[in-house]
Amino acid sequence: MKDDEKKASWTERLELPEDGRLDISVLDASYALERVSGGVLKITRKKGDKETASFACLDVKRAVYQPQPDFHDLPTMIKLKEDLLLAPGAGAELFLEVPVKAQLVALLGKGRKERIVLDELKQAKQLQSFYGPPNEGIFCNAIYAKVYSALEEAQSNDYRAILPLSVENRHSKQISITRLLIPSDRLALFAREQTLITNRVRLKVKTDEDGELDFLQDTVSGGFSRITTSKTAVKSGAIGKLTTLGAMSPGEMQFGF
Amino acid sequence: MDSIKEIMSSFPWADIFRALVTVVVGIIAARLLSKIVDRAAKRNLDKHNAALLRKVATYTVLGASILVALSTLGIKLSGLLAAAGLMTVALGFAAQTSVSNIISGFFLLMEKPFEVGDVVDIEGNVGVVLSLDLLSTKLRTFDNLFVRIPNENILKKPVKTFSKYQVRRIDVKFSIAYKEKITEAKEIVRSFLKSSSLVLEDPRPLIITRTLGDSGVDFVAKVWIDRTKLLEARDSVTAGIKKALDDAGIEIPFPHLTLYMGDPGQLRMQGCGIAPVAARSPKARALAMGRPRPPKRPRPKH
Repeated sequence: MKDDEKKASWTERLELPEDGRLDISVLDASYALERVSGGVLKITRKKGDKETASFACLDVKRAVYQPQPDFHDLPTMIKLKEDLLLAPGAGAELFLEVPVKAQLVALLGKGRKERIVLDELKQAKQLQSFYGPPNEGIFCNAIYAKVYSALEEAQSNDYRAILPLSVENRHSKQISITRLLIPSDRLALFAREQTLITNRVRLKVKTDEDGELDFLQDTVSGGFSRITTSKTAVKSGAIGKLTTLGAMSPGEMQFGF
Repeated sequence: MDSIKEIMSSFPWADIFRALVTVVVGIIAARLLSKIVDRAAKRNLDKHNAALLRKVATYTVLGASILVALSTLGIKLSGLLAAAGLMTVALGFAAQTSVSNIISGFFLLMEKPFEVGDVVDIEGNVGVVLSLDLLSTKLRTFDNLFVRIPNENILKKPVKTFSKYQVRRIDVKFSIAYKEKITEAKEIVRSFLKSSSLVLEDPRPLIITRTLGDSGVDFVAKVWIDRTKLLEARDSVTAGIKKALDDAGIEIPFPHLTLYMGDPGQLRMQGCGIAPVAARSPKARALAMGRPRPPKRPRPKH
C-alpha cells in the first residue's frame, strides 16, 4: 500500500481530490481512480501481481466513492470445522463465518441514491456446493468455518464476515450439528472499521426433523453500525421449517430450508 | 348453350362464396387467435404449454370454420360424420405414418418428456429442442445441424434429457502403475478434486478402485458438477488428475508390449512355450530372431 493510499473504511465515502486521483485499498486489492477527462474515470485495480484497468463514464466530480460489502447471491452452506455437540436442553452463543464480496461503487444524484458499480471483488476460489438430493436440491456456496465462542476470538478477514449464532437444543437427545445452510438474502451487514458482522441468527432444534431458524434484526453489541439491510425483509419468528436432508448418521444433523 | 346457362344459374354460387369466405375468415381468425394466445401464454406459461395451447386454439377455430362452411353448402354434418368413419379407415391405411406421428406428437405434448429449449439425446442426436410440432420434433445439434425426428420414433425410443436437473455426475477413468500405492494415488486425486472450482463440494466426489487391469490399477472418479459446465469440467478434471499424478511422480501406465528376442528352441527347453516366465506380461509375444541377445539396458541420460 502506498503512503497516500487510504485503507477504505466500509462506512466512509471518498471524494476525488483536486489533482483528480484517488488511491484506495479494499480487502486484498488496491485501486487508483483517475479522472481522465471531464466525464471519464479510469479505474486501475491491482490484486496480487495482476493489474487490470477499466473506464467509467459518469459525473466524476460530483460522485463519491465507497467500497461496499455484500453477500453472494447463492445461499451459504457453513460446514463446521469442528462438530458442534449439544446436550439435551443446552444452548450456546457462537460465532461462525460467512463469505462476502466487495464492490467499489460510485454514488451520485440527490441523496447519493444513484449507485454505479465500478468493480467487484470476489475471493478467487469459491467452493460451489449443492444442498439436497441431486434431483431437487439447490446450488449454494460452501465454506469451512471455525466455531468461535467469543467475538474477540473471531476476526473477520478478507471476504469473510462474522455470523453470531445462538443454538438451543430443545430435543430430548444429544445432537451434533455439522453444517448449516444460511440464505444470504436474510442477512444484513454491520461494520466497525474493517470488521464485518451480520445480524444475529438463532437456531432452535426441537426434534430430528423439526427446528426453527430465526433471523433477528440487530447484531451483537460492540459499536457496530449498520451498512446494509437484508434483501428479504427480516421479521421476527422462524422463516420456515427446517429440513434435515441427508443426515449422515443418527444424531448428526445438517440444517437448511 | 341454354343448358349451360341453366346449369350455371342453378349452381349455388352464393353458397360457395359464403363457404369460401367462412373458410378464409376462419384461417385469418385462427392466425389472429394463435398470435393472441401465444402472447398471453408466453407471459403465464412455459414454452411447451404455450405451444400446446396455441395449437389447440388454432385447430379448433380452423375445424369450426370448415364445419360451418360445409353446412353453408348444405352438406349435412350427420352424414359427414358417418362418412368420416369410412374416411378414417381409408386415411388410416393411406396416411398411417402421418397419423401415427400426429398421435405421437399429442402424447409427447401431454407427457412432456422434454420441452422446447431442453438439451436431449434422441437416437444419438444430441441437441437443443427447437420445436415440438404435429409430425416431428426439431433439434439443433451442437455442431449446428438441423435435425427433424418423426414423433413416432421419439415415442418408441428412449430419450435422454440432459437439462432436467441442475447437477449431473461425470465419471473420469484413470489408472496407476502396479508399483504405486493405491491410497496415496486416491488421496492425491481427492485433494485435486477438492481444489477444483468446477467440482461440487456436495455431493462428494467418489474415487473407486475399479479393476486390476492389464497394465495397471484402474480407478474411476465420480464427480458431481453444474450441468451447464459439462465440457469445461470434463476437460479440467481429466487434465487435472493427470497433472496431479504427474506432479506426485505417480506413473500412469499404458499398455505394455514386451518383445523377447530369443531362440524358440531354447525357450522350449526352459519349459516355456512362448516367452520366459519373467517376460510374460498380458501382452507378451515371442519373436524368433536367431541367436539370443541380452536385452539392452537403457543408457542413463546426462
